[in-house]
Amino acid sequence: MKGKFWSRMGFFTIIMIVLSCVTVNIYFPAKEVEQAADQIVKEIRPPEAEGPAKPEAKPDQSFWPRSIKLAFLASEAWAQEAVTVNNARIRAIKDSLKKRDPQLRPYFDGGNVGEGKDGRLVIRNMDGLNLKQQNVLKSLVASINKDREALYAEVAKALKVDPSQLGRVAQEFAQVWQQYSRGGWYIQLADGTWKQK
Amino acid sequence: MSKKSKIILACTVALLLVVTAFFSLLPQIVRWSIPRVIKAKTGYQAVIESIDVSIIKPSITVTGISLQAKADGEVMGKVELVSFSGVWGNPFRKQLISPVLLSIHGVDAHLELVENKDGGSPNLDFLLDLLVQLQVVTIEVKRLVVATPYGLFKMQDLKGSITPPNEQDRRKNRILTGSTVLTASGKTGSKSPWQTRGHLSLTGEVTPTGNLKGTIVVTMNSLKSSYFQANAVVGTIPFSYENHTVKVQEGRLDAPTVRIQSVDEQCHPFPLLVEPLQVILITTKPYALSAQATVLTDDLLSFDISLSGKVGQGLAGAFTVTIPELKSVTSHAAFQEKKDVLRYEGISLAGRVTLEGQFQINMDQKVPVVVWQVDCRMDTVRADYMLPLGTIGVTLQDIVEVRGRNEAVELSGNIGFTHLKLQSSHISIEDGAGRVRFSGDTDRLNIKETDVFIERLRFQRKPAVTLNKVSLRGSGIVDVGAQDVTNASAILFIDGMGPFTVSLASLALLDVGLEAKGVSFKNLLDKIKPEAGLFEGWKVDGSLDLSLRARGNVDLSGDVTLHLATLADPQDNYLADNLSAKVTLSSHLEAFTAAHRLEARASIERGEALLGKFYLDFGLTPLSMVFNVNSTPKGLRINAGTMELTKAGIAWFHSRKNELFPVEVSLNLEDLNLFFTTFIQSSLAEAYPILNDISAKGKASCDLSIQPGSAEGRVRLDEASLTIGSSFNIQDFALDLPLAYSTDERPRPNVGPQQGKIKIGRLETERFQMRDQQIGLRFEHNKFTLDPVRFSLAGGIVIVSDAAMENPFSGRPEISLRMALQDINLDKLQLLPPPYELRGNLASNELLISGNKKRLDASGIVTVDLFEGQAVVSDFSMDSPLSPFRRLKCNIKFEEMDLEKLTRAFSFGRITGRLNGYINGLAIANDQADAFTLEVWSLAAKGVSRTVSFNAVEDIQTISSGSEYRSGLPFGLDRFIDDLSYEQIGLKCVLRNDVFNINGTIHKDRKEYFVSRAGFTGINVINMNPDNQISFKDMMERIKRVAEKRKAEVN
Repeated sequence: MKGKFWSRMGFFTIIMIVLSCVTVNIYFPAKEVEQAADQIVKEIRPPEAEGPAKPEAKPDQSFWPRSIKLAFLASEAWAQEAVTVNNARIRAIKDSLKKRDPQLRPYFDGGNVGEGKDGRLVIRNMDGLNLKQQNVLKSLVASINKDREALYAEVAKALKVDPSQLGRVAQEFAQVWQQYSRGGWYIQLADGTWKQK
Repeated sequence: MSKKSKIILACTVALLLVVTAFFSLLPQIVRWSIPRVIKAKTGYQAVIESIDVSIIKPSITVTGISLQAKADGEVMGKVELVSFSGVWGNPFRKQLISPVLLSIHGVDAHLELVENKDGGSPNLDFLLDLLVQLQVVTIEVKRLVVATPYGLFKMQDLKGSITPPNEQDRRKNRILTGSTVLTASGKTGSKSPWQTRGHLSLTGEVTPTGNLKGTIVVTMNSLKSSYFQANAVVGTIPFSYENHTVKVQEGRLDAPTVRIQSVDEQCHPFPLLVEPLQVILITTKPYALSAQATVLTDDLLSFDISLSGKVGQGLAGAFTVTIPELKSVTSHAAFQEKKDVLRYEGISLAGRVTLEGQFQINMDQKVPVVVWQVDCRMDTVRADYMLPLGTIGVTLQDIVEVRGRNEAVELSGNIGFTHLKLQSSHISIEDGAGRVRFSGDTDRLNIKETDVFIERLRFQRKPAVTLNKVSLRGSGIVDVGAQDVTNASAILFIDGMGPFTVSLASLALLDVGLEAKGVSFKNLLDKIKPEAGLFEGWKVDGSLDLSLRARGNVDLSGDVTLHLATLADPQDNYLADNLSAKVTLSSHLEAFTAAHRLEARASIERGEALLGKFYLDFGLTPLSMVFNVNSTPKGLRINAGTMELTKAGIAWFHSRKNELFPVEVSLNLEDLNLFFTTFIQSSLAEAYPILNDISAKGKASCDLSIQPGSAEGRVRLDEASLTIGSSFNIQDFALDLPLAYSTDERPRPNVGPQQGKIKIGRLETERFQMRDQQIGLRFEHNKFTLDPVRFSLAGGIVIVSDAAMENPFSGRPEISLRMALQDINLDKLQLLPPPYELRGNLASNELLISGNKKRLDASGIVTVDLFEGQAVVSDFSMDSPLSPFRRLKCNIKFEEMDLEKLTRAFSFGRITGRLNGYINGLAIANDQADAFTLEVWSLAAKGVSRTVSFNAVEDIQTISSGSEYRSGLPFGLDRFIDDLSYEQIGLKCVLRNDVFNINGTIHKDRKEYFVSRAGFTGINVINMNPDNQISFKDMMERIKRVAEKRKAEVN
C-alpha cells in the first residue's frame, strides 16, 4: 500500500517537473518593430519641420585606400541598415500610403478621423462633412486600413514575427502613428477614449 | 170669503189642474223626453216602438228601442225591453220618484262611442248614478259591440243584476253581479293590431246610501299583438263608486307569461319573455297605475321593470328598468339563422344598465301619442361587437338620454368609455378610452364631438407597426340603419405628432382620407418602427406631407412628399442629405383576403444619397421608381418594379407573379459610361484616383431569375470599351455570359442555352496586343469555362485551354487553366525598360495555372532561349494576385549564357565567356525585385575567350562598393588596355529585406574573388569587404549610374 502511494507521488512529481520545463517562448522583437515602424511612418508622414528627404550623399571622391574606406562605409551602412525593414512590397505599400496621407489631413484637422489604438484609422464622426466628403473619407479610411494591415503583415514577416503576434505589431505601429500625428489631431488611448494632441 | 181665501182657492184649483194636466200628459212627456236624453247622453237617435207609463205605481215600460246614428239612418242597436218602476217620492225633497227596478232585455247593439265636445270620452256617469239607486236591476244583453278610439270591444251574453239584500245582512246592501264574454281588438299607435278574448265578471255590493263597491275579475285567455302575446291574463280590479266617482284600489293584473316579439328584427331578433307581469292599478281619478315585471329575452337578457303612472285622459308616469346582467347573443340560434344578413357575427354584453324614465300616453287623440324620456345609465358595461374583421369592444359608462314620441326616438348622450379594444387579424387597439357626445334618433346619430385616446394601436400585418398614444378628436354622422359612419372628420395625433386630418366620407364604403403637413419623419419612424427591427437605430431628421385616400374595398391612393434633412443607418452605410422625394401610392386591398396590392411611384429630384460606397446627387441624376408590392401575412413583397436614374438611363425591372421568388431581374444600361461615371467614378475616384484614368463605354444588360441560393439568366455587354490610362485598352468588346449559379454544392440542371461568348475587337496593353478574337464560354455547375483560345503574342503564339473559374460569386473563386507558349519574342515583350534589351525566345509546352484570390501557382516550366544559352523558369507563384501589392515568385536556372551579349544587353562593361547560374526564390513586387538568391559562375567553353574589360571592372567596382574605380596602375595605363583575361568568374548576390549581399564565390589565399586571373596574366577582382551590405536604394542608384555611364559612352 505504502509502495503504491510513493509510486503515485513519484509519477506526479515527474509530471510536474516535465510540465514546469515546458515553456513556450514566442519571440517578439519589440525594439526592431518599433524602429521599423518609426522609419516607415516617418517616411509616410514626415514631420513638418523635417521637410523632404535629403538626397543621397555623393560617391566618395577621397584618396583614402578603397578598402579602408569601404570598411568604414560598410560598418556605417550596417549600422544604418541593421534595423531596416524593407522590400519591394513594403515600398509599394508605403508609396500607396504616402500618396494618400495628405488627403487625410483635413479630416484629421477636423477631428473626423483619428489614429486608433490598434494601428488603424478610426472615423470618429462626420461632423461638417457633406455626403460626398463622407463617402471619400469612408473609402479612404477603408482603403488605407487595408493597406496598413498588409504593411503590418509584411513587416511581421520580414522580422520573422509569429503571425499570432500581428496584433502587437499593429499596436507598436499605432504608437508611432500617434507619435507622428500633428497637434490637434485625435489619438485613441488604450482604454478606447480619445485625446486631442 | 176673504180675498186671501179666494187667492188660496184659486191657487189650489190651478195646482190641481196643473197636476192633472201633468199626469195626463206624463206618458207623452216621457215618450218625448227619452229619445232626447239618449241623444244627449250617447249621441244616438232613439226610436221607440211603444211606451207604457203608469202613474199610480210609477213605472215606465219601453218596448223596441232602436238606436240610429242619424235620423232615418242605419239602426246601430236594438233593445227589446226596458222596464223601469219606482215609487212616488216627496217632490219637496227633490225626489219625485224613487227608482226601484230596472230591467233591460234583449240588447243587440253596435255602438260607437262618440267623443264629446272636449274631445274626451263620453260621460256615462249618469248610468252609475241611476244604478246605485235601484233596488233591483236586471240587464240582459245578447250582444254589445262598442267601438272606441282604443279598440273594438265585443260583449256577448252580458248579464248584470242588482238584487235586494239578504235578510241576514244588517247593512242592507244590495248584491251586484255581472258577467260577459269579452272580445276586444284594435290597433296601437304604431298601427300594430292587437286582440284579446276572455271573460269578465263583476261582483259587488250597493249600500243603502247608494255607494258601490265591487270587484271586476278579467280572465283573458289570450292577449295578442304584433309585438307581444300573453296567455291566461287574470286581472282583479277592486273598485268603488262614491260621490259620483269611481275609485280603483290596488287593482291587479297578473300574467304568468308575456311574450313580446321583436320590434326590429335587425336590431334584436329575439322575443322578450315577461314573467310574471304584475300590474297594480290604484286609486281614483287620475287613476294611478304601477306595474312590475321581470323580463327575459329568451335566455339572453333579463331585467326587472317597474312602472308607475296616472291614468287621466291617457297615462303618464315613470318607469325604471334594471338590467343586472347582459348576455351574449352570439351563440343564440335565432342569431345564427340571421347571421348571413347581419353585418356582424355577434354581440357580447356584460354589465349593469339602469334605465330611468318618464312617459306620457295621451289617449285623447285618435292615435295615442306616447311621449317618453329615459336616462340609460351604464355602469361599466362591456360591449363586444364581433365583426367579420375582428372584435371591437368597449366599456361604457355614463348616461345616454333617450327621448321618444311614438315611433320617433331621439337620443342624446355624452358617454365616457374606457377599455376600448379592437382585435382583428389586421389591426389591434389596446387601452382606448374617450368620450362621445351625440344626438339623433334610431336611424341617424350626430356625433357632435368625440375624443378618443388609444394607448396602443398596432397594425398586425408585416411589417408590423405599433403606434402609441394615438388621440383622435372629431365629429361625424352614424347612419344606424345602414351601419355606416359618414361625413366624419377628425384631428389625429400620434404621441404628440401631427396633426393629421382624417376625413371619412363613408365607413361602409370605406372612403377615408388622411392628410398632414410637416409631420416629423423621425417621430413617424419611431412610431411606426416595425418590430422586425427595420430602421432600428437609424438617424432621421425630416418631415413629410401626406395626402392619402382609401376608397372601396379597398383602393388606397395618395401622395407622400418626403423632405429628408438627414437619414443614416446605424453603420452609416446608407445616408441621405436634403433629400426630397415624392411618392404616389395606389393600391387595392382586399379586406377579407390575405393579399393586398400596392403600386408606388416615387421620384427623387433633389438631395444626395450614399448607398454603401456609391454616392448619388439626385439633383444631377434624378431617380424615378415604380414598385408593385404585394402585402401578404408574411410581409411586403416587391412584385414588380422599375427603377430609372433619369440621366444615367438605368432601368431596373423586378417581377414575378405573387411570390417573392423566383425574382426576375432585368437590368438595362444604355450608356455604360454614364453608369460608370455616375456610380463608380464620382463616388470613389477621390479615394481611388486610378478610377480617373478609367473610361468604360458601351451597353450592358442582364436578365436574371433569382431564387434563394441560385440565379439563372444571361449578362450581356455590347459595343463596350475599357481604357485604363495608356496601359490598357480594349475596344469593341462584347460579352454574352450565361449564368446558372447555385450556392448548393449539387449541380443544378441546365436551363436554356448555356453557351456564351466573348468578343474582343482590339486589346492593347504595354506588352500585349490582340485583335478580332472570339472566345466561346459556358457557365454551368457554378463554373465558368472558356473554349480553347489561340492568339498571337510578341511574334509567337499563346494557346490557352481548359480555362475555368469555379464558384465565381462565392467570394472564394478558384481558377485553373493550361497555357502553352510558342516562340514568344522577348524583345517585343519589352520586359525590361530601356536601355536594357532582352533578346531571345520564350516557350512552354504547358503551364498548368491554378489558384485563388490569395495565391496562384503554375506548374511546368518556361524555357527561354537567351544570350546563346537557355534559361529555365519554374516554380511560378503569385501572392495576392488581385492586390496592387501582388508578388510574383519563380526560380530560374540558366546555362551557357553568352556573357558578351548579356553584358551588352544590360549596358554593363563588356565581359566575354560563358556563364551558368541560377536565381532561386526570385520575388518581384511593384515591378521590383523583392528577394532572390543569384549565383553565377563562368564556364570554360571551347573557342570562347574569357576577358573582362576595364569598363566591366569599373562597373563591378561601382556595383559592389558604390565607389568609382581607381586605377591600380600609375598614370592611368590601364586605360590603354582594353581587355584582361580571366580564368573564372564567381559571384553570389542575395537580396533579402531590401539589402543586397554580394560575394565572390572564388576563394584563394583567404581572399574572396569575383574574378580570378589565370596564372600571372589577366585580372583579379577581389571583394575586400565580404560582409558588405548594400541597400536596395543604393543598389538601384549604382545600377543607374552604370547604365548612364555606358549609355553616354555609346552615344
